[in-house]
Amino acid sequence: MSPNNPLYLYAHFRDTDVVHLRLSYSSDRAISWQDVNPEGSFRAQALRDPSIIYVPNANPLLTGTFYFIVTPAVGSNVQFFSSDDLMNFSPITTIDIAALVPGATVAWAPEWWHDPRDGQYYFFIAVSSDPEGASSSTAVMLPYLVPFNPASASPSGFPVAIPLSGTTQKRTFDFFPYSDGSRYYLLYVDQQPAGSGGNVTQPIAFATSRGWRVRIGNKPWTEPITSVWGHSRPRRQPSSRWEKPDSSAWYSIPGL
Amino acid sequence: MITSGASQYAPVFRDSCRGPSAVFSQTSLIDGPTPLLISPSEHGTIIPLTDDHSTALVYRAVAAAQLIDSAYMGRPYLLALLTLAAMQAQDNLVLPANYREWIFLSSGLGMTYRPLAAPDAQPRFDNVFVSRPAYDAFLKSGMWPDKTTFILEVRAAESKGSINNGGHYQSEVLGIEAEVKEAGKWTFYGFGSAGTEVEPFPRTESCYSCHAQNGAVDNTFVQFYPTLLPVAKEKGTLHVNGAK
Repeated sequence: MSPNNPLYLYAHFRDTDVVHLRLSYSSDRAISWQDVNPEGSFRAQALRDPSIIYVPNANPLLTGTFYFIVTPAVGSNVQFFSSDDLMNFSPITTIDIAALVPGATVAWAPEWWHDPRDGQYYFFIAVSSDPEGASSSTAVMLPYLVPFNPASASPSGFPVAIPLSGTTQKRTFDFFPYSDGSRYYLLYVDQQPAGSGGNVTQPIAFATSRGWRVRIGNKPWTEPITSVWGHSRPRRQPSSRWEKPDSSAWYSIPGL
Repeated sequence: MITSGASQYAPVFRDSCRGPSAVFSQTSLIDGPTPLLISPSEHGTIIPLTDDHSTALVYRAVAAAQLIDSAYMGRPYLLALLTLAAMQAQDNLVLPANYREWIFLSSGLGMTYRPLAAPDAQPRFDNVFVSRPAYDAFLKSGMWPDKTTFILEVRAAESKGSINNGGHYQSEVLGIEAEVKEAGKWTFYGFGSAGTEVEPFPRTESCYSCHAQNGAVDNTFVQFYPTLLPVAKEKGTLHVNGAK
């Protein structure tokens, strides 16, 4: 394996088998996949939306640790697990997002993020303060970024709200960050209200930012970040070609 | 979801909202989506693993699962057992592939710490490298922090080749050793000729007592590293015995 030919590891769950963490791997650039353990790698009472990250050991001669963050159940908790061998998994902590974001009733789909620029670890998460919680299909869900140290299993700063400039900011979730080295991208589901047929559409959108910074420390959770994310409007027609994203472009995966 | 922490690689996109999933690479998007050949699944994350440690963990877990499975299903149990044993032989230690990009401290030619009856007719080169974070810390404090890792690369010396008419130059690797500081304790490791298998030297090996008695700074032979010796003197961390 090398930077140009990595082994891909996929942490996921199946909707008919939500109590198992599934791990699959691919050695051919994410085309074909095999299960690490066909029986399921880890069983928990409830385990959805697993996000995985590998934290290398500071000693280059020693192996690192895999950390998982999952949505354990409907509510505002997120749960963390670690594994040194992908065979044994240990729960390390459970965080109630409501304790960090006052009024939060729902926290969905946390996603690890290791910023190569500052070397810090974070997770993105969709947070709703709708009193009806997830039972409401129209509950507003907004992105938050939580500085979090996986090794100490504790937040390393207060969550910050991510202002998606230009979006309706009604119901956004399943955030996923990406950086090409010069720009940050945040992909997410931008769920649209039910149309005349009653179907909810779930286009994938992304926002970009040339620079953003989270202040870590004893700051109020409302501490603003220094740069907003530019959100672009959906295309009317789904694109069939990859286009280099920029602040005015938008990409939609066909068939969603 | 797309791959996490893959900033320098082509992103892999996935339908994060519903299964069955579809994965797209940047290349395949140009030609149209390529379906992900995997059972239906829901929201998850794909990460790229590029180092020997993490990929070994994956393959070891696969072998362990096959071992358990084959024990019940009558599949080639021995093959899975051998695969697992081969992976466990690494014992979590892998030679850093980029150690030659670390900080180069010094080379020695024909050095030995034992009494020498006659000059070695075929001396060897010893090249010493140290991990950059440890080097940076040493410049500041004159001490080695935890996780410090030294690599000693032993190479054969040649004298006849090309246009050379005198002296020696380096050729193939004869052996590699490592010295690692963890929790204040130093451990020596020896790599095989392939450079991939590694085992800690027993504590009874002479290297432990020799370094403890003669290391100029904290078990290490800083007295042989010309750029670090002045630092140790300035910081006052030079060990009396080693400084002799």
